[in-house]
Amino acid sequence: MKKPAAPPTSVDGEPILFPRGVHDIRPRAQQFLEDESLQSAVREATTLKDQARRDVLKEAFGDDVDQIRSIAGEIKRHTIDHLDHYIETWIERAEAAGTRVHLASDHQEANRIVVEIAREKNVKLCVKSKSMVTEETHLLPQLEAAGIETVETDLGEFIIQIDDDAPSHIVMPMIHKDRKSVARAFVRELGAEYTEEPEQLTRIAREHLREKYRRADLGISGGNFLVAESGSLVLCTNEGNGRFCTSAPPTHIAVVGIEKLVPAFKDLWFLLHLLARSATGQPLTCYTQVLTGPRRQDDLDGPEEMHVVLVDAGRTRILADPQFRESLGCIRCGACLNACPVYRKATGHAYGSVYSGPIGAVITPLLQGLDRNPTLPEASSLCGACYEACPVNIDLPRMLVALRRKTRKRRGTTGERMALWGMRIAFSSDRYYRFAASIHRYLLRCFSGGSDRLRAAPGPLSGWTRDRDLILPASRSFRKRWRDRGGAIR
Amino acid sequence: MKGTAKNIFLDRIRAALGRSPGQSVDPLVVDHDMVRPSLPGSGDERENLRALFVDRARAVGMDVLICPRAEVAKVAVNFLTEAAITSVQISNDPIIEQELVEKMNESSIRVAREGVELDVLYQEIECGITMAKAAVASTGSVVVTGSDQESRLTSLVPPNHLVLLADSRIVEDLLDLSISPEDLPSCMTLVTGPSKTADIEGVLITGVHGPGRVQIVLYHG
Ligand code: SF4
Repeated sequence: MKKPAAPPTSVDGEPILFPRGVHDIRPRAQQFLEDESLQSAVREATTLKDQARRDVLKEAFGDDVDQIRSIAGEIKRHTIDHLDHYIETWIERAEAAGTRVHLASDHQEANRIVVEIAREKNVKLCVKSKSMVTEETHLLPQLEAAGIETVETDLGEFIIQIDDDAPSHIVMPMIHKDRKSVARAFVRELGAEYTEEPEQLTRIAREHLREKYRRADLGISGGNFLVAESGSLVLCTNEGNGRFCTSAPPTHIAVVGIEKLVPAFKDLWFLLHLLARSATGQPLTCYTQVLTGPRRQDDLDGPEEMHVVLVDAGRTRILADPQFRESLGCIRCGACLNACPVYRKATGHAYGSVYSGPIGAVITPLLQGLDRNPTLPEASSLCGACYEACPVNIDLPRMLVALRRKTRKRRGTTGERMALWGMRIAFSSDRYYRFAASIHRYLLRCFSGGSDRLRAAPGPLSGWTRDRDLILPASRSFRKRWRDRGGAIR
Repeated sequence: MKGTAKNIFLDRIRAALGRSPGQSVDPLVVDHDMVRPSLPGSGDERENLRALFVDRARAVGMDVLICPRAEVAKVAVNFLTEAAITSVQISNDPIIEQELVEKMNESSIRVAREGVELDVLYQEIECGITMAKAAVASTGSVVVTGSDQESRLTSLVPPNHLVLLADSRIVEDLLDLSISPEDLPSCMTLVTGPSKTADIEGVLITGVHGPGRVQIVLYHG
């Protein structure tokens, strides 16, 4: 298998994930907008999943959906507010069940712990199931550097690995790739015969990976939840590769962010009712594994050693800021990505992070520094679709605004201040408002050049239309139409 | 894990939260029952639970056959013969196994017990047979475990998975699963459908790594 010396790069020549220096989402988004096939693939997939989520939640919970989302949010918020307590309890119970718990303050430490265990066990081949945190820590290159062959086993991640690409969605990692690119990669990297049939491509990957499971001496996974009352690790997967990685090899290491705690099973069940429905429209993922320690003495199989690496890597910093703390409640369902009009257009790689979409626009700056990602909080129309979609009721728009506020060091320009002053007057009385609205309508028509939207505003306003178009107001105002229909106006 | 490292780690979290070691936790008071689905139908509750389970299990792509307990072996073997399955691995659960093994022998299906060579398991066994420890009606899930009677791989490696489920083990919702935190098996898996992926252009494909076919034999009495 090809071993990339450098991480795969994006259209701007920078690594797809975690570009060096200051990342600007705009140049990438600009180029992805031109890519018709990418646009239609992402549009289709996200629209379908977004609709599926609405439908199944409605079917399962009827009109209680919003109340249920807010309870789920409360469960996560309560846990995060008392995270020290629940982590301590979890560690105690997990160790009692025979799990070896490791604590990593940052990325380097997390990677070092994993590589050390692998070295100690003399690991040659490692099979890995999907884990966002290990993408975040860049674990793979570290393992490869230590001479350990590491194979991603989730179909999408496997394809991405052999095609030297990077995931662009937290649930549908290869949403940006088409079957042709998979076919070519399989011919090139696996020596397979060319086929574009997803069914056959899947079979090829299946056979290839089965051989790996059998030979692997280490399995690495992420974790969706940690249950404090029992010290369990919970994994939600669909393909079965996660089960292989945690059952077949003699050693299992799970790399998990500290925010994954839930107090008790009843809380777990509550959140599980929402996770898969919000992610893919399934009632539950095909496999929900509750793992509590390594194989017991009389167990017929399972790993002899189970390790869990709890990763902080910037999370306590987020915890310390009450403004942003709730972002740690995210259960990584991807619903906010699917619902987001900006994600759908800009697409995942534009964000330059494993976490894209609205949640990525919030936590990437928080985890890596706003100074390195100043444009991410701007990547939102603040329409609120993400907030409405979020199963744990995270107020993403509020945090996006708070982050924007942090990037504004200066007061507005004279022009901006004058415009706001004018607006204050316009909104102060009914008459002024009507007058301002009619001028507004007139001017927009003049500048739009007969088109239905304003694409380039004149003079100092041109900055505003550089990244957006403005749809023109109707030619007749609501008030006028109302009056024409005989409606009364106060 | 060394105590000091743990304390430093936890202290940092406490500092971020403004909490002190051992500080108590206000109880979390929320209405967990809100997520319960409403059970359709009226009358016999068992009957309704079973109907709901069958409906939901089928909806997620698992097949369900229903029979009285006395006919489990017959129904299971029928399924195996119809699917042209000639070799199975069976978990050590003693409940129905004796009769089932006899019937399979009669139909010249090769029966392997737990603990066969991995080569055999990966290459020859066409179906793993396990007992469901429980089932959840609202999600259509069956619960299998890794234990001293059942390996994790039996329900994972072969392309078919046959699950025997006693109808008394169906609970209404996840919240009703009886779990004692001190006494969990090392691995408990809720199976809600055959192994699936939609990674390539969203095309749904079953049987990626795990079994592509899950057959449930639901028995009563
Ligand atoms: S922020 Fe909410 S909607 Fe977005 S991925 Fe996280 S849990 Fe899902």
